[in-house]
Amino acid sequence: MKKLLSLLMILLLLVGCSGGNPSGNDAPAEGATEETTGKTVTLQAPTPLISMDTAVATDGTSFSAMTMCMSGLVSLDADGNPVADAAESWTVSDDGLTYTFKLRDGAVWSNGDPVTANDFVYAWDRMTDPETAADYGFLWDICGIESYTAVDDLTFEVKLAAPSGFFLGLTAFASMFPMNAKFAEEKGDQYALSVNDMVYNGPYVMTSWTSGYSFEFEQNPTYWDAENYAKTYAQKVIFREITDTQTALMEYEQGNLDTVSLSGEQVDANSSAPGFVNRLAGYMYYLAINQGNNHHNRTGAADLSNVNIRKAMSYAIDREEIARVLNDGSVAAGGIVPIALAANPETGADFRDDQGYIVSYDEAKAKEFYAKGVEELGHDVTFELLYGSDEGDSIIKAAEQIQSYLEAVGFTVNLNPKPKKERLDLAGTADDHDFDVMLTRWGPDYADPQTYMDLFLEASVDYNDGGYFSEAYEALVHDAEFGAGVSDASVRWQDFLDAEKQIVVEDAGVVPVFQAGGAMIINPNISGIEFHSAAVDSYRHIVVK
Amino acid sequence: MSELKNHEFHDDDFEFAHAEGEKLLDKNYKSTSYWKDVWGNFSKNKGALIGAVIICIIILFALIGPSLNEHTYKSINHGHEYLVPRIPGLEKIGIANGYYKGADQYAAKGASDVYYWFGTDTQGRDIFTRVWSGTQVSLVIAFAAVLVDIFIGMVYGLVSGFIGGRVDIYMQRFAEILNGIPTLVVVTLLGLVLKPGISSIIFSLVLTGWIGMERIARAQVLKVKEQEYILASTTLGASKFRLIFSEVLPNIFGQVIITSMFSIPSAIFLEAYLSFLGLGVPAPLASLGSLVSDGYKSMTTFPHILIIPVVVLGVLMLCFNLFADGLRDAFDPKMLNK
Amino acid sequence: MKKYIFRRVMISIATLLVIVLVLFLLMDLMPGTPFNDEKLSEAQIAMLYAKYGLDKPLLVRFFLYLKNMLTGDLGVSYAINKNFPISEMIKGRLGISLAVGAMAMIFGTIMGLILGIVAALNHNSWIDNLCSVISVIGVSVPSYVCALLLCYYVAYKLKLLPILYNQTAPFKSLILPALALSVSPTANVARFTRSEMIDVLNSDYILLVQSKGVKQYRMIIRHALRNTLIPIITVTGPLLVNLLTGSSVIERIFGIPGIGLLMISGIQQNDYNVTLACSFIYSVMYIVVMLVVDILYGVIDPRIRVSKEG
Repeated sequence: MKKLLSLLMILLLLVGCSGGNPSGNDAPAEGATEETTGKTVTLQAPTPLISMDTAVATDGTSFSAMTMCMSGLVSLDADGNPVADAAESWTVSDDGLTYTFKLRDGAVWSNGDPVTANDFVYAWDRMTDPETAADYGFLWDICGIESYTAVDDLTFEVKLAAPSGFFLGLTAFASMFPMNAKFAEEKGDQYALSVNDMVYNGPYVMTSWTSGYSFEFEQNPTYWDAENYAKTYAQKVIFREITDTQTALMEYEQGNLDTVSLSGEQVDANSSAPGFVNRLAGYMYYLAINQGNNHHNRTGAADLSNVNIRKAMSYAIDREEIARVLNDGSVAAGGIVPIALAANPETGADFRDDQGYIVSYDEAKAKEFYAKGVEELGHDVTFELLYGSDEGDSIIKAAEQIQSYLEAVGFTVNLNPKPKKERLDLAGTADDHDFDVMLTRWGPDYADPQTYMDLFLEASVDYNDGGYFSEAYEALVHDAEFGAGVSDASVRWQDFLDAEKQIVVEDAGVVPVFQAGGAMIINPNISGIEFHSAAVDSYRHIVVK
Repeated sequence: MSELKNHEFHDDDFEFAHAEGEKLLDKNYKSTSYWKDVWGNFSKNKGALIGAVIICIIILFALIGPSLNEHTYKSINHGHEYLVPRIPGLEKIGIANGYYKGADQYAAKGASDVYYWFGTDTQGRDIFTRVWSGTQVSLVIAFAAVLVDIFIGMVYGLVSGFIGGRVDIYMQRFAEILNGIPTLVVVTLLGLVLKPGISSIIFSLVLTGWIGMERIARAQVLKVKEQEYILASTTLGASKFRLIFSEVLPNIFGQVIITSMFSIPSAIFLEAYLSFLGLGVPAPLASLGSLVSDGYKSMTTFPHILIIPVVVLGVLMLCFNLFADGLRDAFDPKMLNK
Repeated sequence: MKKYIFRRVMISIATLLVIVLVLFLLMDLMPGTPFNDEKLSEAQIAMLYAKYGLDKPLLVRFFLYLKNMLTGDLGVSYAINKNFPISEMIKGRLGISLAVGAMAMIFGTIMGLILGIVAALNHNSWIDNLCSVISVIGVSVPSYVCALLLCYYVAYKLKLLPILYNQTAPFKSLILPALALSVSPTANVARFTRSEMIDVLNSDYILLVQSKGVKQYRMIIRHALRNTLIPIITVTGPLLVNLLTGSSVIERIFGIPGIGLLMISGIQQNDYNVTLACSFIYSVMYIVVMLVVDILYGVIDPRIRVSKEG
């Protein structure tokens, strides 16, 4: 009998474990109302939604989600041009310094409160308050915003220190969205933590958000353009967080997803699938080379202050080949400024086209420069290449390719993969850079070359990790931003072109490698997903056939 | 029964049962040492011998395999990515002929005169070379895992279980604290103090790899320690040390060996996770674990990148287990008399 | 027995407290910062440290944490779901991880016991060898490979089950992940059952049972199995903890919002509070399972109970 009892106990232990969690089995049923009206789209979110708070979010997925359900003063059309949204119209003073936005009369938040100029003032105050420590608080300085005021409930006025070509477009960016002051105060710390802690003034409202699983939107009936939306665009947009590319592709092929991102391995087999696209992202990956005086006495870094050695590195890398091997939509870098970031203010030509490809692969030249450098240094060059071990497959592949190319020229390269948090730790602070060479990246904050040019200034202590310094470069960038460039856009443009040549070609202060891309398949039955390489992707205008 | 009780025995009640004239001789067995017995038992076990031979072959390949062709583990062959295996000779009978999904991959990539015996990976590196140099690393890890299991885990469990009482309680609490902290948290912290490489892998095994074994050894001790032969030995005045290592140990060695074999794959995959943290063998050097986790990414598109290291690992494990089974049977005193 | 259990529970609680302290110290040693975005400046990072009280001395933070923990407040996330209360995050995820883990354990134990018993009864035959090969393959092939194989054949080709986790059909969509996870416990349980069973079947009392003419299945269940259980419980205990606290790779493959993935993200993104909370859950489960295992030893084998009480 006792034997039977003990067996029973074990069974109970096992069953108890399974019986003890009914909550798991019939888990959250909320938001499970399945509607298959044909106007629902389900998109893959390859990275999770981190925050819906404009002052806290820093990633593309979060920005896109906020752009779904919030409207800034303007929003971007498919080509990235600003069009009226929360502001019905705006005027710019003749000197280009004062913007007066006229808000829509009768526009309301989803709880019925009117959208007023004060909501903008409140949100902007919060973003610029140092206490908030918002990542994107610097945008106000970049635009040179001197003051912003609510002239009356429907008039919002912004004064700039100098004319800015990108300010207007930036007001479509999530960080500059308004906030319902009354509601936000009421919620306090809880603001934007769940669908019940938010109000919306955009075309959609968020109906469900399960961390790690999905977030969903439905059309907002109180949006000023709601009638048009109901007629034209998807009724419901569901984002499903799926990080594994292989199961995501299976799910897409079974018809349960409308978009899917592909890894480099999957591209060849799917490049002829209907709806396959290679989209270009803004991220520029480059080698930061430690050449400052603050490099922990690292032997590798000391050699890297030799300009011939750095030029050898730049010529040694076959960027086209690396992009081909990555095969994920990435393209070879032509300079430090990515493709499709900014257009010539006069001709409208892309920066990259104006400048041309100023870095190239030339093994013979690389060997020549290397020999010259070695002669000057008196010994061969050995250094460590730091890169992120958890920042995606492409980074690991690229690092291994770079190692192979550099070793072919004569370098000895030791790879040093580290998780991102540690990599950024080693990248360091103003006077502490514990690496030789680092494969790192920069995503543009606004559609202007300045977002890259500012990085490598001496004063940019937080971002100029390699400690690059050149008087010529400083002078050119200064002239563009504070000198002749202020009043003459074409001088400014030319200054930036020259500055890029200076840092990339003359000094080889940084070695651009590739511009990230994203290969994906979009269900041919849907259209209207808008990718902006220098701004946030928009899913507001999805049309279901 | 009652009849028997009252019965009295007399000398002539019994007589010898053997046939008349049979000679009674004592047979003399050659006295053999324990180790000779062990070897005798082991060499009779066919499976174990096969296992041992294949392990030797794999070790041989791990040593010479990487130098059998002109590629190195890190040489990148541009344009030769994702090639499937192609082996001269075998290709004529239709296996390993470089065809994938009905097309000659080698011809398509302009490599008709090249043979990659195990194919190439996503960057055009020779998988044959990478698998064998990865096997080198993984064999070292396997060896380390077994040593850690035996010299730390088994000894800890034996002592804790056999001595019992207060010592057992303290030793178990210590192990519980160590194991109550997720392994990943512990090894992530190692990134602070250690340089990437084999030594850091072994160190993380020393920290976390032995607790499973410790529990098994202890449970086994608990099972045997109340048995009569231990009591007998104690009564005869055997010291604790002698009891543990010469009476208890041989009786639980079978389980211990099996357990340590099963801890090998988890050690090999722990290494793959460590590579991810920047603590494993420095890239582009590979190990079987990291080859498997890399291969996973192309499993649905180019499965050979995954299958080859998985098969090598599987065969290696199978042979380790055959070998361990043989050892277990050879060491088990109960088996000796059979 | 009651006195023993009571003492054992007290010891476990003390152990848990020590673990929390150690975990807290470890979090403090973790390299890097949760605020590791490329775009944050030094000054802003310092501001965030102050905002979340991370600039206070370690001991102060520890006691604050303990105090909050007793009221169910595990702090907020710094990086994964910024400012989100962690107790909320875990509430939604723990149940799912427990469900997958328990299912995997049940599959694994049942299949493992069957495999092991069949192998032992046919000791040294081809059936035995086949069972051994299966269990060796089970431990050498990582669960993520099994998972993708199952996904591809069962869900994608045959369309028998959903590929990804689905909130509206949780049970159906958790079968595949549970199966993928059960491969390793199956192998382990089978291996131990087999070797223990062989030992037991060779022992004298089984000979006695056999000579009494007891039917085979009855002999196995009543006499043999029970003696093999101690070592099996020893292996399954820790396995169970690992399964219940979620497997990050399996959760990633099937898109399951579980705590395994949460913990890995916590470690990777230096989200101290998340890592701490997930580790704590792991520790509690581990201690509880070990407690149950120890008590079960006593229930199953009276000899151990006697020696412990003495």
